[in-house]
Amino acid sequence: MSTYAPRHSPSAFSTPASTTLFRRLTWEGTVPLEIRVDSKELPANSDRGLECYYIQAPRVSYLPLLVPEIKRYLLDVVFDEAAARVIKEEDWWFESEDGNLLKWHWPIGLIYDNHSISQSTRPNAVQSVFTPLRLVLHLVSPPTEKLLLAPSAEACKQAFMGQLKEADFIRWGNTKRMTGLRKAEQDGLWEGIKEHNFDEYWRVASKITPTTTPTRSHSPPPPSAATSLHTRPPSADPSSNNTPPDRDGASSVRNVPVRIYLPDGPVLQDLVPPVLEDGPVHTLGTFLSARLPLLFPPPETGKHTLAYALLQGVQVPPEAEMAWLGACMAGADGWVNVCVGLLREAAR
Amino acid sequence: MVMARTFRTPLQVPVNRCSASVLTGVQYVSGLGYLSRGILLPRSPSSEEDEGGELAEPALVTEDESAAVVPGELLTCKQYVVYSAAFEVPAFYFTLHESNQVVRSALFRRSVLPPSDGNTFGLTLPDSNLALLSQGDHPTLGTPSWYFHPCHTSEVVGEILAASEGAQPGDELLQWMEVWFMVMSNVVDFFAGSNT
Repeated sequence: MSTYAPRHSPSAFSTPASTTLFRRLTWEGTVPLEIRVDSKELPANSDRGLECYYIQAPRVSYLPLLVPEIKRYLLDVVFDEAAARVIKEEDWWFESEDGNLLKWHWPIGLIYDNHSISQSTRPNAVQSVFTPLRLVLHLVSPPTEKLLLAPSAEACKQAFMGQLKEADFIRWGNTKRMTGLRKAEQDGLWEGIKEHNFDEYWRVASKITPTTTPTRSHSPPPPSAATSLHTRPPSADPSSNNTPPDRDGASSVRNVPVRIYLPDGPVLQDLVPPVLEDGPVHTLGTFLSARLPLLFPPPETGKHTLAYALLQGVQVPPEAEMAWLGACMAGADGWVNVCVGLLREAAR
Repeated sequence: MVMARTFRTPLQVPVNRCSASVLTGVQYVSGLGYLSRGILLPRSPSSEEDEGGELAEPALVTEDESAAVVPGELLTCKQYVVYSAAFEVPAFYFTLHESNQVVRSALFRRSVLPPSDGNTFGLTLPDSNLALLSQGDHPTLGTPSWYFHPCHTSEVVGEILAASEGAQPGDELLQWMEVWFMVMSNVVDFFAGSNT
């Protein structure tokens, strides 16, 4: 498998086509946003009625990265010159329509899904599929006690790198893969997000993200310097194991970086091994039944499932394997963010 | 490596055993699994700013650098010891009212923190990519906090434990926590400030 071949840097082409497909689909996912400036804060002489900006934003991007585009629009169309001189981007902050402060360090896709699941608990909510997420943009007085400091692109980058390192640690027990990247490569990951360039991002990310490998009939090539850190457990040897070989790599992680988001509720994080202690592969259904047994009763109890799981906006079937999700549908920051919403019958 | 779930119980043990003489005002918030307390911290006296201009902290000072530091003015500091699910060890989280005053408060032993590298999101050791002090969501409360990156503290604690006598049976985790507090106190002055 050329991902581990000496002297070759891994490329998207050496990854199985299905893995690349899902990574591409995840990358290209977008959500509709409607951004409206708080009318109380519109500077005098603004062109009212036009202060709404619509954007189909990439799920893997971040709100601070949208600010330049929004600002250009507002300066062109809404604000006059006097207003343009006084607005300060660093004071901008976002709120949802129902008054919830939005965390700028969350990927936009997560903000959208988190909003969807909150809506699923409202008794009168209409379950439509792609309504724009309506955001209110405030231009002044950020509530600093509730927001992380300084929502600049640079701080956003630090937050992103921090999440990647944490994910790296959870997968392998150390952050050597991340810290082993040259600075230019680390920067390349963020540049890929900023420019929304799949190839630029994955050129580096494929070195640190577990992958799935196709069936091989030969033994693994000798590890190169880049791969000596990938310790492969004996069961990963395709000639001797009895697990299907296309789960190598993804299933040799210690744990999959996963978080569960509950509607208006806490964020849960726990250890998610790719394979359970008594042998079976860890699936999403097993995982959710163990963590949230009242919402996802184990099948043997015969009770109905009361909730659903959203990942990248998709309702993921319970048979999906956690390791595969970690390799193919994680966010750009390495995390599998499972948003749990209530099924309609339960919301009543 | 200590298993994840077993850590949550011992967080309560130091509170019961260490009475008021050691760590004042610590509460164990049951069911949510973390230690918390609130204290009032003085700002650093203004003379510490002029240490030959060595400590350049452009990122973590107030915007108006010409404002005089008012002696005796107090900052509210909330401190937490929270279990980090990612690194499987406790981590020290805190918030400071007027959080851009982090470095100037009396909370830290000044000789330890490196000069800021101009990044408002965290402090980094000069030869490391890993941020020493970062911002993140409190694992239970979800509110924004500063925290010390926990991955290196466990190595240090491990080394100290390896070099010391074993604990009494059943007290291993308590000993771990005691050593952890000892290691953290090299950076954080746990006795600074007074109870709110």
